[in-house]
Amino acid sequence: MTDEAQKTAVNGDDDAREYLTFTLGEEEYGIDILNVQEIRGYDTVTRIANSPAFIKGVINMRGVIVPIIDMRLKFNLGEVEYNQFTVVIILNITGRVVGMVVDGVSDVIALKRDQIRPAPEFGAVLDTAYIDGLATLDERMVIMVDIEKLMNSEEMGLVERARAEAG
Amino acid sequence: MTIDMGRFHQVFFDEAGEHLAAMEALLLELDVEAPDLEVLHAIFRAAHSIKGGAGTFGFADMAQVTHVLETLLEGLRNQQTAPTVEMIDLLLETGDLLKAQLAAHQEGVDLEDPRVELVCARIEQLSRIDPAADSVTLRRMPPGATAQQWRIEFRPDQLLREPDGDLSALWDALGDLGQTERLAEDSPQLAVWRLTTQMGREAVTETFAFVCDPRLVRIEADPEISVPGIQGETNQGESQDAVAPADKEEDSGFGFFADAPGSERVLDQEHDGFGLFGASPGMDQVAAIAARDQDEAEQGFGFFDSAPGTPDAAMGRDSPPDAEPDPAPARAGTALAPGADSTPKRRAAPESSIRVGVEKVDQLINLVGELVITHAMLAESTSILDPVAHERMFDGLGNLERNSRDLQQAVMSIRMVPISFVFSRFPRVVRDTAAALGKRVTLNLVGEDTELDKGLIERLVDPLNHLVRNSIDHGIETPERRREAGKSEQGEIVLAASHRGGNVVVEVSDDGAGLNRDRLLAKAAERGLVLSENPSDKEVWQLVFAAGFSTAERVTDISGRGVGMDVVRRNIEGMNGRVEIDSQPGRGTRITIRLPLTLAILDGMSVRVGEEVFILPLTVIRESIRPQREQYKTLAGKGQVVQVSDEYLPLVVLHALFRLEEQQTRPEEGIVVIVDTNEGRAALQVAELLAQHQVVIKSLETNYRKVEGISGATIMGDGRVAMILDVDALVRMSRQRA
Repeated sequence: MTDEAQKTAVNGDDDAREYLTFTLGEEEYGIDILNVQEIRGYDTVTRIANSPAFIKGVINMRGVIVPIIDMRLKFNLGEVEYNQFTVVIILNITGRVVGMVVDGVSDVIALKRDQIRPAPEFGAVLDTAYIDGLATLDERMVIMVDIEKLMNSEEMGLVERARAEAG
Repeated sequence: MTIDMGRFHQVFFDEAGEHLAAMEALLLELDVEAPDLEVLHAIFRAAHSIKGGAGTFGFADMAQVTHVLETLLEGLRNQQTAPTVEMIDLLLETGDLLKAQLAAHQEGVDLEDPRVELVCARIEQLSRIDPAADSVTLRRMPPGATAQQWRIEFRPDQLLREPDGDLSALWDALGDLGQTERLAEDSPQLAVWRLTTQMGREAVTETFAFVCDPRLVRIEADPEISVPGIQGETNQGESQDAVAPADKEEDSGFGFFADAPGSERVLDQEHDGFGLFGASPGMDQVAAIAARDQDEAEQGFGFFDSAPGTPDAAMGRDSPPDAEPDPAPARAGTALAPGADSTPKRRAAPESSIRVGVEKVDQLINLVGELVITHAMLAESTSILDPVAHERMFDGLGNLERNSRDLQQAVMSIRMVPISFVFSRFPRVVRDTAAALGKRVTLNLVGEDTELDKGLIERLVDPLNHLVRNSIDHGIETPERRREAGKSEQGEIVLAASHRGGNVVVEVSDDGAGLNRDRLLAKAAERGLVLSENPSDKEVWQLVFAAGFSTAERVTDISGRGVGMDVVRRNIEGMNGRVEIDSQPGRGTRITIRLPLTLAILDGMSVRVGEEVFILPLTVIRESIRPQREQYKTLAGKGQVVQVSDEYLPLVVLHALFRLEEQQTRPEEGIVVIVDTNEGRAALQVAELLAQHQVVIKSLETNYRKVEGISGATIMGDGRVAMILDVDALVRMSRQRA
């Protein structure tokens, strides 16, 4: 993992990893920055027939067809608006590229493993199964999300059940 | 020196596969009555290349089998043994075994198969029949035994001024040294003798020196015993050992090789020269002798002259087994590689093809697709400019368009491969199947050069296999029945491929009994399949494709279980293709497969439904109409239908099916496209037909999952994504909703 090696070299820190934080409703979430391919604005999408409402459709990203999901719709976070400030985080989850619409992108933070505490059962919009832990950052609480697990989950409906590659 | 062998394994797998395929094709080509020596040589070379590669990469089991195989082939090509049908069958079986072993190695396991022992034993038995039986016993001699076998080849007419007189004198003189035998009938052009003696090469050479110039005589250690421990497994080590001394001699070694090909001389002897290559057993022997005869530069020279390079050169025919460099020299030794492998022929025509991973080509296709789209976007945004004021820009754009289209076509053609890749397996399939069923069948291949996408080629194998076997089993009658019907006993199957209007058409036809309409109808009634009254022949033939439908009176291990044809149709439809059957009782059956040229590009019509644009493949579109209100009907149990001439076609309302908002809800405001589906024709209602495009097909499944009713996606000129419709699935969905 050269990326990781590079990152530690930059940080001069052995086990610190970088996380991208974004907001959804009232809460702030963090995901491993290695899963983030790019951040872009919201384009017009092409709808996919008979898909759930939170799957907005697909876009053409330099020749790659990328599905776009709106996390705000997925987690029923009130009013959803698409304008020039709407942000899409393009994720790369084990080779699959997925766009995720969030309320806003806030920061890139470096955290050591011991700064992330296990998450108690609590009423976040996200199921605890997809939560890695909690980190506190200057009075802010950041919920660390296991984005790979979340995106591969059946709940998101992004992948074929049982992932039959042949089909 | 350590080399990562893994890198080379794939090369070996690819090449061994090709060699095996070539060997099989050649074996089938071989006429037992009058064996063609060139074919025998080519078969031997294929086996030898596999052995070399297998030995080098440590696949001992394959090396062992090929070694035994080689022994038999050696006898064949030296004309010591005559090929028999039994032998060909055995050789084919051995080929299958090797394929199985290769497949096992590819998966990283060793094949445990009792057939190995069996086949090896049978081959050994067959090779032992040959007159040179003593070589078998000699082979058993412990390494280091003093007796040597020398193989002597020369042209009596060149050496001896009075051919008849001196030949016997020479024979007697050699007889003084040891035991002599003729390996082939002496002729003025060639004499091949074998001498078993305890004397060294010098003594033999001296004997020749009495009657002629010894340099014109080729004397070499007989491969049968010259290398100790040749039993296969040790192949690798041995060749490396042998290489080592040759390596040391690099300077003089290179001297040899520079001169080595000696192409003119070798080619001069093309007509009668086969005996020369009789003992070109390959580099291990070459190396062994090179090492032993370091001090005999003269003779070594002569040896290299002909032995290693010759087969290719003298054959002068295009033989696939040698088109690729043997994987063995890649490792076996640097000094040897050029000499053993670079034949005069190859020097004249350097390597003309390269192996490239399919993903690289696909990436290229993607990029070119992007380029085309980018151009379309540019063209769109400049369309508002004044053409006169911006003349140069429009010229440039025109050029860009032309170039990118050409580029796209050129890149697409990389993926195209001739259909002979699929067809080439069928001589074997027909031979085996016909033999198993006691039928006599010939196979004719037509249009083997027809090119189509590599992806399609691979997926065409299974369906064609099914169809051909079906034709032999159910189509072609037994010889007796054919005679009764006044046909020749030999049935004929034709596999034909051609390009027709942007499609590739593959036909499998036989001159057998044809389909039996009454039996099909009876079977359909028995299985409760609903047919229209008085169905057309075409409808009846389509029954064959219904799942579990077999009219064979008995189930054989080849076909008759009724699982074949529906799979065939599904496979073909998976490639956006169509299957049709045409049959005439007593005359035969023809099955026609229509396929798109490629899976990567599609000719389509863009249609609007609500706000969305979809692509409809042109191949499925029959016509489009704007029906009158009274043409729409609702049938109980069948949902909405449209009456077109005197047919009622099921109506698929796209916006309802996809839950899109549609302004016009009255059907007569829209347009109905009549499409061909696998369940017959259907009517697809859309709002508007937009334009015809050639689109690059992209998979939705790369980053998402399969969507019902959609076969893929593409990127339109404005950069937006459009979905490609799958009409078969749409009709199915529509019926389920109704």
